[in-house]
Amino acid sequence: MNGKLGTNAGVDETLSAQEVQKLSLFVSLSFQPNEHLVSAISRLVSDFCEIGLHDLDISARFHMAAHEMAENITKYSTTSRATLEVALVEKASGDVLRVTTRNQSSPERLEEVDKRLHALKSTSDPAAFYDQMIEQSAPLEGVSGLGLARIRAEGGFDFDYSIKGNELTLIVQAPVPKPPLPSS
Amino acid sequence: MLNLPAIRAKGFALVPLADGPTPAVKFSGNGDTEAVSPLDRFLKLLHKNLIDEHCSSVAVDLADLYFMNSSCLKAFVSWIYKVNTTGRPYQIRLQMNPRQPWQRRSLEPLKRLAPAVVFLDDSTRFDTNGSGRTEPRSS
Repeated sequence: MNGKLGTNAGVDETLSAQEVQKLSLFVSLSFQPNEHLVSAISRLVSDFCEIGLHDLDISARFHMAAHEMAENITKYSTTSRATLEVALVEKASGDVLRVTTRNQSSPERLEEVDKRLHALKSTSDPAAFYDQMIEQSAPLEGVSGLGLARIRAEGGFDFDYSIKGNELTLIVQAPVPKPPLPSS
Repeated sequence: MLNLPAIRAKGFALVPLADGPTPAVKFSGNGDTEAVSPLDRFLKLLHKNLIDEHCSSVAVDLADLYFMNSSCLKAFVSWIYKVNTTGRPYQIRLQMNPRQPWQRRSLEPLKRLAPAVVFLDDSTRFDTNGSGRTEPRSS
């Protein structure tokens, strides 16, 4: 797993080096998808939130999101490289914490994923959508498929995605309070 | 009362509790990928035990559970679905830690799946000596 840690605001989907330099907090992990790394990655995100934001509930929500996103990569990635980024984006309307993942997958898989993610992104009632997915999955053995719907419903996150070629990008984000100033 | 083997693995534990008036089990630690298969097997065995013993309810102590991934949640979904669609032979009381708000967020959808089967209780006392008992307060 390769990591880079940066400091200081203002991103969209892909961050340039200059944009990263403007972020107040930025972590990027490049790793070989592996189920044993999932917990380590989500803990790192959680620790990052806890130290940076001093808010246990926000840490727990981002821990859950990072875990489900990393687990998704592990299950469905078709190549040996994937990335997960955490960025604190300062906006005029307030700070936003964003988790972005990128991984390659097969065209067949991406076609199916596109339909599901479009439904998830466009729902106006994430909790009802999640409840419906739970009901549908309940009789099925060994199938979860709940992770990303859970992120929207339970975490209260905004969700977006893009598919370019064989690359899937997932973005979840939520407003967060301003980090406390360091005590002197 | 419950004839279930305890599972103590690195990162999580699934333990039947023997010292209460009603059947109870405790799921503690980190419910991540490693816990999914053991939890699924444990819940299936628990269901068989409860049916065999004609129990009318079971408590699941989650006070010391720090995280549960969607695959572990799905194991609960499957269990609850089975109970809800086979005559509702017993109630499932999920005992939550109010200091961990994620638990209520994660477990409320289970309650909505089967409101006549699943009950969410806030634990008012927390285990500090490893005995695993909690005192629930119905909500």
